[in-house]
Amino acid sequence: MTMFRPENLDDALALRAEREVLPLAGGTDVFPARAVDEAWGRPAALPLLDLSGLFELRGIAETDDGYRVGTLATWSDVIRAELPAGFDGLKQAAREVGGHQIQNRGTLVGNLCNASPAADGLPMLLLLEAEIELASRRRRRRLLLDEFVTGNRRTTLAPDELAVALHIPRPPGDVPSRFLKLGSRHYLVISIAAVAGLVALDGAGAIATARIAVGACSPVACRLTALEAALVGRHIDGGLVPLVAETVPPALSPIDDARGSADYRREAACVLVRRLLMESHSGRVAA
Amino acid sequence: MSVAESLPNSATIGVPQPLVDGPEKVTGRAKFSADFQAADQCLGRVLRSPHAHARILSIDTSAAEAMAGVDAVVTGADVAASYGVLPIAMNEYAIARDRVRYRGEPVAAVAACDAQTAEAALRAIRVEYEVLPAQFHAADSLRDGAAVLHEEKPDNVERRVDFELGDVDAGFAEADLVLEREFFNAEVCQVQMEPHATFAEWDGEREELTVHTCTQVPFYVHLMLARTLEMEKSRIRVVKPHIGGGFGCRTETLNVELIAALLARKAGGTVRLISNREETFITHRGRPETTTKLKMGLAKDGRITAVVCETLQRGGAYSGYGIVTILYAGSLLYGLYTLPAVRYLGQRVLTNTPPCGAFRGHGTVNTRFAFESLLDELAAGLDLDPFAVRRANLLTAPTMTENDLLVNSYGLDECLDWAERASGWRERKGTLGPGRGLGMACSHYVSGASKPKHWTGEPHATVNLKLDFDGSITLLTGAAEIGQGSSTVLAQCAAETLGVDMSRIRVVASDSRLTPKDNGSYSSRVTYMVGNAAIDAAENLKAVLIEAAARKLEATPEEIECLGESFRRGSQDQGLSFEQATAAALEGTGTLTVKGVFETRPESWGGKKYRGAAIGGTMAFSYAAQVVEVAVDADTGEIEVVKVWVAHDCGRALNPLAVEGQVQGSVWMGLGQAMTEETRFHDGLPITANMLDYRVPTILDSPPIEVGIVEARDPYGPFGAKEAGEGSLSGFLPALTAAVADALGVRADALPLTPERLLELLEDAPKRRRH
Repeated sequence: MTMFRPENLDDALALRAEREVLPLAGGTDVFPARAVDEAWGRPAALPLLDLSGLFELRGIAETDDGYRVGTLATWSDVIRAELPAGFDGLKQAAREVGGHQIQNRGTLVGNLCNASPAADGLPMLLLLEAEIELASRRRRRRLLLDEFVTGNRRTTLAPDELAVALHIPRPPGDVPSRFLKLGSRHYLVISIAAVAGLVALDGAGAIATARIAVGACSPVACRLTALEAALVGRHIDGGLVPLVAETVPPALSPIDDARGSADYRREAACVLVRRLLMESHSGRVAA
Repeated sequence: MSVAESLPNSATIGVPQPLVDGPEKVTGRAKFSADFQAADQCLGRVLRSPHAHARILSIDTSAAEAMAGVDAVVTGADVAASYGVLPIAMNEYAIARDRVRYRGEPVAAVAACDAQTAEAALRAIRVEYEVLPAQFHAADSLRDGAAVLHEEKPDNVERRVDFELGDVDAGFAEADLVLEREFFNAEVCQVQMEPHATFAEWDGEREELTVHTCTQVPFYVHLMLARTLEMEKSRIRVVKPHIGGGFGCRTETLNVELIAALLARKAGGTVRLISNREETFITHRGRPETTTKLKMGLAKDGRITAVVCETLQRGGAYSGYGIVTILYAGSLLYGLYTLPAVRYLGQRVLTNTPPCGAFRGHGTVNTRFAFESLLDELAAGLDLDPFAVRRANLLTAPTMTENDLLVNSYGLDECLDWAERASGWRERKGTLGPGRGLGMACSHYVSGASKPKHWTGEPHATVNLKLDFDGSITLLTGAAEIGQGSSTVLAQCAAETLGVDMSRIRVVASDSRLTPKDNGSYSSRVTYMVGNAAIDAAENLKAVLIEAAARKLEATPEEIECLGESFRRGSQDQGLSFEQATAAALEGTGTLTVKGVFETRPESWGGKKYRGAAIGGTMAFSYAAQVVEVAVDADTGEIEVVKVWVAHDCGRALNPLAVEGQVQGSVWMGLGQAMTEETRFHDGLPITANMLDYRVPTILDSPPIEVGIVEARDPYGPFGAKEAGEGSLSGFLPALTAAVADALGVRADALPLTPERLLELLEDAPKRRRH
């Protein structure tokens, strides 16, 4: 296995421009895939471009309009960072990704670049309206995540580009977000369905804004825009149950796989959305 | 009478003892097979078949052999002899010859100076295949026109077992309720913590082989190395270092162990062959996918009147332990309850999947799931309490079962009492509220198989004790410490018998150059058989010491009082210290080595009423009863096991600390099989061969497990002991589904009971039976 370990971004981008390499951040997706290749005698897919020497890609920092999450920021960094309540769901998602060892190695940006339909980072980042910053020798650009992750294991990252950071705008008000995940054991598990939500109530207890996203139930996690719109002005009560049943399934396109059937995923997504809404009673008033 | 009765107050037996190899493991000093390294070693890698069933038309290794840094390439052409754990069913080759029968079967292997070279060499090997039709489930292999895996088994049936004992028809006629159900258990895998690793050293000058390998059965590995490499056994040394778990996965020689040795000899040096997790899954030897069709009759008074059991097992591509597994699945219907009439039809079927093996609870688990589940449903149908039904069918020891299994000690009644009381069954059952429930079940297991697989006329177990000038006692045993506490229990048995402190005994285990042969750690044989041999050896050593002390003190041996660390003639005598007695014993003879052995009694050898009826024969059965409490989320189908109360009759808890751990581990392993674990294939390709998709429970999925130790002393067990490490596993499965039935009114006949399966059951419930 060939591995490059540049010590600054310019060198990394030069290598990226010169040859086909697989960028390596935490390695928690790359190395398990490598174990499978080894067992079956397949060659290592590509030389690795180890990014761990790029100190400029580390850390989470507050910026003028929000937060910058470097490509090497780990799930543990997210859990430990001081972030407003709107990030609560992202911290919950981080705690649900693997065990401590995985959280200490795995990165948020790697999770996005790996582009698994079941990526636990994406639902929350979609509703936080995060952008990803991509760099190459040619240009720097920022994309919304629905422009970046375009399908199962597909992104719009160009062969000479590297993802360098996420930019997350400051969330509205002081409303906590939530993340709920269903897997077939309590921990260390790939989501069968995952739901992220940020629901703010007005003074009268009606829903002022609602952002809800679902993961593992379509090729790419998605916002439930129809439900979000329909929720505005509604109160949190049993009346939402038929609304969820009506609007959630058409927004999803789950598949049958070893982790769960399409039917079960659809049903589980509805249950999780319902629970998330019911728990949003405590949602504070939007600023 | 057992030795226990004649002993003074116990110093080490029945007292919680930390395991003797604990310090090495806790500090990381313990060396496992993968920790062995040599400066001039080569790394081994295996080329695996991409096809589930194919003829190998040609293998061209010339390019690989020509590569710089490649020390050896081996293929099926290098192995003329087949191997297998059962002498009557050796149909596997270390490396496939002519044909591959499952995806991942080794077709070649290389040894090279580094991993990169080895991998490049693998890719340089050209294999031409002719792909053949394949079957991935037992039923498919039984169909007309199915491809035949082994010519000598034209119907793809490895073994058909068929017996009827007692009058089944009359039994059903007498029953007040008869039910018939079909149960399904997915294939499961041991997932021991340590992936397979073998370190093989070839001494070219002497033509000798030394192998360090992670096995439960160093002796069987020794035999198969000799057979496969066509070497004299005396030129082979097998050492078992520390082991990261076995659970049956390593109770037979694995192809990777043989391949490492083949490579070492061909390379003329040292080969380190480490399987990664995926390869460890592919090597498999787990519990087979099983369908159990069960019919049972119950009388109003709770008596079981008749049982018909039809078992279909997907055995995989080679025999392995298959014949024993399908026999156990029938014979161990017996031994737990009184069964007046049983008909059993078992079929072990060959399929194009990795071979199954002897997983903890070997052969009994899936049958017990079906049996206890149906008994629970029958009890409900006749409005009987599950505990009362079990009590209506108890055995009375000593007795022989209808299939001639010896039951000498029987603590199931006490297990039931404990589990019922501890769980608050009587007060709490039916009062827990919606979504919560209680279920119970019983189980049992053998304490070693009374007839060895390799019948040599030798005793079942041999232990040597070496006493030398320094007063230390070295216990030499071939018994494989695999983390279960084998070495600790043997030190305890010897120390207790001699009356000395445990720290005086050092255990040297599992090195064929030093230690007496032992059949290995499987079917829970070590404590019972090797423990008894350790006691025998210690008694022999004690006799030597007493005789020496008598000589020194000018007394007869009968006059000598042995206080363990001192020997005296009457209470006024100052006597001899242990060191002085040792010196006396060594006078004129030098370093002492005494031997102890254990033989099973003929009445425990099982019967002859049907072919294979000896399988199941044991000196003693352990017994267990457990209650499981669940809380179920009816929206998502998620099940939380709130608590388990489990009573286990181990005869006598020699080391209560180890017993408790073993019982909890058994229940926990049952929990994995019942709730989340499933080995799955797509057209024979393993798709759960990693620890993310093969889901063993995490600590967050693990409930509190309260253990009640029941001690129905066995007359021949070491200090009355029986097995503790397997018998509690199988009961968890039916206790869980009974608890879910209690909570929601639906019975699950297929495991694992994933949230999705449970939700399907709930959705279908109005259309289906509810109890």
